[in-house]
Amino acid sequence: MFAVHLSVSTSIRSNMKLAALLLPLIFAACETLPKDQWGTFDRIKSTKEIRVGLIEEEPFVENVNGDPSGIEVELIKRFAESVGARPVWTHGSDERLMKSLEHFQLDLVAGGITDSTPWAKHVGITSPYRNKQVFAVAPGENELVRRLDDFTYAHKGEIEQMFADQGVSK
Amino acid sequence: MSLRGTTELPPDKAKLVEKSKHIEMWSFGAQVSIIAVLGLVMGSSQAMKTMWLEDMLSMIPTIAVLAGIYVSKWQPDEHFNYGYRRSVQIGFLAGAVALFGFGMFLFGDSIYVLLAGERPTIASVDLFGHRVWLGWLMIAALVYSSIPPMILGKLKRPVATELHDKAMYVSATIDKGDWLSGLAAVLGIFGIALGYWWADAAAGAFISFEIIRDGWKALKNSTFQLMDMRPTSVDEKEPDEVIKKVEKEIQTLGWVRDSSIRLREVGDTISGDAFVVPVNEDGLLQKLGEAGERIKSLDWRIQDFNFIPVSTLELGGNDGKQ
Repeated sequence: MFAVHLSVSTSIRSNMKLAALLLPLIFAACETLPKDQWGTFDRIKSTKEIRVGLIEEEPFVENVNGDPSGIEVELIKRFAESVGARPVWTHGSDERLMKSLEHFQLDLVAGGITDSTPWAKHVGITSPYRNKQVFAVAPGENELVRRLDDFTYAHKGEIEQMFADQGVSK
Repeated sequence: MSLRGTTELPPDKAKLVEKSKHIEMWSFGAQVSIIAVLGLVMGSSQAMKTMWLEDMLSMIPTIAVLAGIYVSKWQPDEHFNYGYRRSVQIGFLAGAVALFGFGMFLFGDSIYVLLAGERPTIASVDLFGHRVWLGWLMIAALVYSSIPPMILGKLKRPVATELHDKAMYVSATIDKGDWLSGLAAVLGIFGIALGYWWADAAAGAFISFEIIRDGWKALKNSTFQLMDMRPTSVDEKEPDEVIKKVEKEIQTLGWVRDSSIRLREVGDTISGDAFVVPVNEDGLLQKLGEAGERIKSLDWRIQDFNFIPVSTLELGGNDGKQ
């Protein structure tokens, strides 16, 4: 609309200039957006604590003498480390944990959850880090989801190795 | 058996009908591709869900126009003496009911999501070896979905006006609602990216409101046509100028003492009757035939017009006059 007085060629050129200016902006947006709706990731960084609910499910989450272990537990430990936080574990049934997650009393729930979980209506889920395995995240916390997705994507090979060590084949 | 009211278009209009067919076929193709693309990236966004349904439903007027062009070639026959045109209007009415109903449902759904404070979570996907947040893909898909209706709507409007095709005019109006709501959905997704959970559902509510408006327009249009409303301008704001033309022409007939006409639209064409009280019965049959031809030559849209000689105009009803 603002190009009415310009000739066609200059308007195309000015559009290209505009695009050249916008592109870095778009890339910058991809780095910092999306943000959380409830500010969970910012809170994790400031309190240095990530509140994780664990549902027992081999080989993802195991509870050996009160000390959690398993592939997903290991993954969360590493993720927490990468953002300078430490995980605080809560054990419980999936219903209790998911309800807490829905009400932002937890940040994350793990334990062999798949992307077809019926809880996806009430809480957020990451994209699958391997086959159909996902983490459940507080609803609408898209930055935390993005950080987790980026983390698992960057460690794809290691995750595959962890499953191989557990004797789980593709 | 020979029946009246067969549809023969003047050559320039026939060409325009071809053009309208092409535009609507492009429209159809664009809509199919848009539905596919939006379906792929739909995710859990309320605005996306609503957009997807809107795009599905906005195919109805496009299909109605295309079906109308196809069916209008069918000649009246033994069983359907008035031709097949109205079947398209019935289809259009059914589509309008769907559009209106879905609009209401989606509006309620969006308001519920707003009130319940449900928060949309959107994860990322693998795209050619890159991690991309699905929200960005949604925005790209929505921008893609907004461009064809923007162009096609602009192309449809003048053709619809020229051809007096109300289904096509509604289709052009719906195209406008389509790209408007596409941009609203972009804002909704961008709102999610910025962390405003309500932006998405608010955009969804706005879009469903657009669907309700579209549905209402289509519902009104098709109901009025099925009820044989007096011809109106293509935007239905004014009475059709053809009415005045016909009335004037009949007044020039010296052998007519008194007259009353009734007109209705049959798709893009007009048909009607004139009840006339002749001064006397001299050569009446010939006069009636000539007058009929004169009326039909007034406008290409008058395809069927009958003169009915009566002794008096005491007909009951108010003959379309208020």
